[in-house]
Amino acid sequence: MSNLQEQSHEREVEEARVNDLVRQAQEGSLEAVDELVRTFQTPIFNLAYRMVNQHEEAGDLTQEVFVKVTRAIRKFRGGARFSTWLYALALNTCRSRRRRLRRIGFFEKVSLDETGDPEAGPLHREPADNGDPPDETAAKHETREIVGRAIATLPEEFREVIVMRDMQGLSYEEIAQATGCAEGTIKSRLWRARAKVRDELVREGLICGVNG
Amino acid sequence: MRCERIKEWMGEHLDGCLDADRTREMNEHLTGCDACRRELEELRQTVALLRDMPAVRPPADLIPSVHRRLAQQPESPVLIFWRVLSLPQTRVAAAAALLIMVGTYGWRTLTAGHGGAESDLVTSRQVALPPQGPAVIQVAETVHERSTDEVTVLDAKRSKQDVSDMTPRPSLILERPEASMDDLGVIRESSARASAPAVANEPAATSLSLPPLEQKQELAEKEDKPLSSPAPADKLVEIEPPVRAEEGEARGRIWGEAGERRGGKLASTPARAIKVGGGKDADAAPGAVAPVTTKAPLSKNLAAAELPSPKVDRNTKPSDGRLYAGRSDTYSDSADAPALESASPARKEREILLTTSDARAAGKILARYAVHGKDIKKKADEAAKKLRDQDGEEAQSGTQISGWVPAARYAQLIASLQSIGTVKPLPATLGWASGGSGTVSDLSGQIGNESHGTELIFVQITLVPPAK
Repeated sequence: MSNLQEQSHEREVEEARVNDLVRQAQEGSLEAVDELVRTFQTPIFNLAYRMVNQHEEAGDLTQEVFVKVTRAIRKFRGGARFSTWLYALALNTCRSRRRRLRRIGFFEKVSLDETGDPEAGPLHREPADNGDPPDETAAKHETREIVGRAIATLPEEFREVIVMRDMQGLSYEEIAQATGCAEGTIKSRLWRARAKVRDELVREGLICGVNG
Repeated sequence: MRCERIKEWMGEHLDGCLDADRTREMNEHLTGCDACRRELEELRQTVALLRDMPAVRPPADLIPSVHRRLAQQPESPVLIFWRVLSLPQTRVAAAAALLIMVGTYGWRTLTAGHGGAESDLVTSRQVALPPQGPAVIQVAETVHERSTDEVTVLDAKRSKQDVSDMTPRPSLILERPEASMDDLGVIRESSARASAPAVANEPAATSLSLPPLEQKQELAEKEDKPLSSPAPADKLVEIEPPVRAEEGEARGRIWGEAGERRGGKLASTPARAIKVGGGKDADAAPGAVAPVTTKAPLSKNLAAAELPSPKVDRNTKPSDGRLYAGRSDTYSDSADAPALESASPARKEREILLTTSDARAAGKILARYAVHGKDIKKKADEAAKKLRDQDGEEAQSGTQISGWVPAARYAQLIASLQSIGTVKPLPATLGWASGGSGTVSDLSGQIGNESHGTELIFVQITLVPPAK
């Protein structure tokens, strides 16, 4: 089996597993709900984190998303992928939370320094020895800080598409369904979002163009 | 322009989603364009860095936290009610109650007797009426047959408003066989009227807590007067500029149904063509066919001040077969009336002949007063260039610029134009045939969003250089 075929097969198997869990959860199985949370907690937390740029707030937001999922799972009819439905719910929750936070001036208080490399934060620790030389680790750390800051300064709708496409690998179609926009809009937004990040990274000297 | 297009394809190319033809075209372009090659390389590096960002690990205690929250935050009574209502037993009971209500109302209506000479086939839908907040209104689909005038109104449908809370309420089928229907067969439903006998020309239902715009529109549509009677100004309905009719894409309403807007966006209201039979009068537009609007703007009171109401009386033929929008006293004779080739509601239009040596200034002036001035300025610059290049007779034929101007600023526009040349109003001969200007329809869609509540005039300026 080729690499692409393998990946496709893996996706199908995973989708079947998730569908099974959803069915069990709809029938009332709490274990199935927990397993769904385990499966999707990382991407949803990452989405929340990139939208609010703060660990604690992202954690709270993620809990809210999964509470809503648990209560609303019976409404999921299976017309779209469960992950798409989940992302749509998460996006709406993030947007509402951002509006509320904006009203209380939250984003003025959160400094951009906090939006750097999340792995440097309290939730994570760098592995004691990841095999890289120390200066390479420091360089990677700095690069991620810069990229993290570039993402954090994007407008909301640009951030959403960058996170879902480039960081979580959703397809254009899935992003379009989750955001409720047309695919053309998503492609356009993605292009503009990447251009903005590129401009920031060029300014920081992280990337350079090809000469002549 | 080509570079812009190629750049737009770069994202898809990096995602492996660009089709073969475009990939080939892009590669050909890149071999000769340094800027695009640089752009692509920068984007490639950017995407690589983005994709290299590690995932942030979520809190270890996420699942227990979710459980705690579920335990601490009981469901709201509303959600519990909804969940109970969604149970099969509850649905059966609700359906039974609904049938009883419908049966009772229908029986009462039948025994009260129907009025009116025409047979109306009305199929109506259930309407869920939340006790507070915006009403959810569904418009009955009505097939309205008339033996003589052949005014056929098909399928006006209005999308539902969102109900702020999802609490379902008992549904009512509201039907008013004797109700006065507006031209599009819109039946305005009211919880207060559900059991009351329908009476023509009743004041509009106001028991529903409708947004103010819709209340006003309801009032406007309640009048069911003969065509020759001008409608009072405050009851005039919104007129939509006609745009090209396209099957399957029809939106909006026609012939006097009040437009609706929510939050500046157009409600999606598919409609089909309306065919208007000519009257005996020579001025009648024979076989005029209204274009179906495609996301046409719903400029409020666009022609309110000047054009007669477009209402068609169900029970009598129109006196002259012409269909108007607004007051009837504006058009003293048929020559002034906008052409009804398209059978769209007449709109307020002005044509001006401007003799000037400074066409660019004319464009700037119009851009200043009109909505979407940026587009107008661009076209005006093109027109100015064309005028400069023209000579002799060709120059005398003039070139045109046009735009939508708020009625309140029209006088100022004329005054400004007079400062750069001679202004001569022309008889309004603009006919909005179905193949009308794409610019108008493009702008129309945008104007609807931007000029909420503003009366607009379509101004067309023919620019002619001074005689040499």
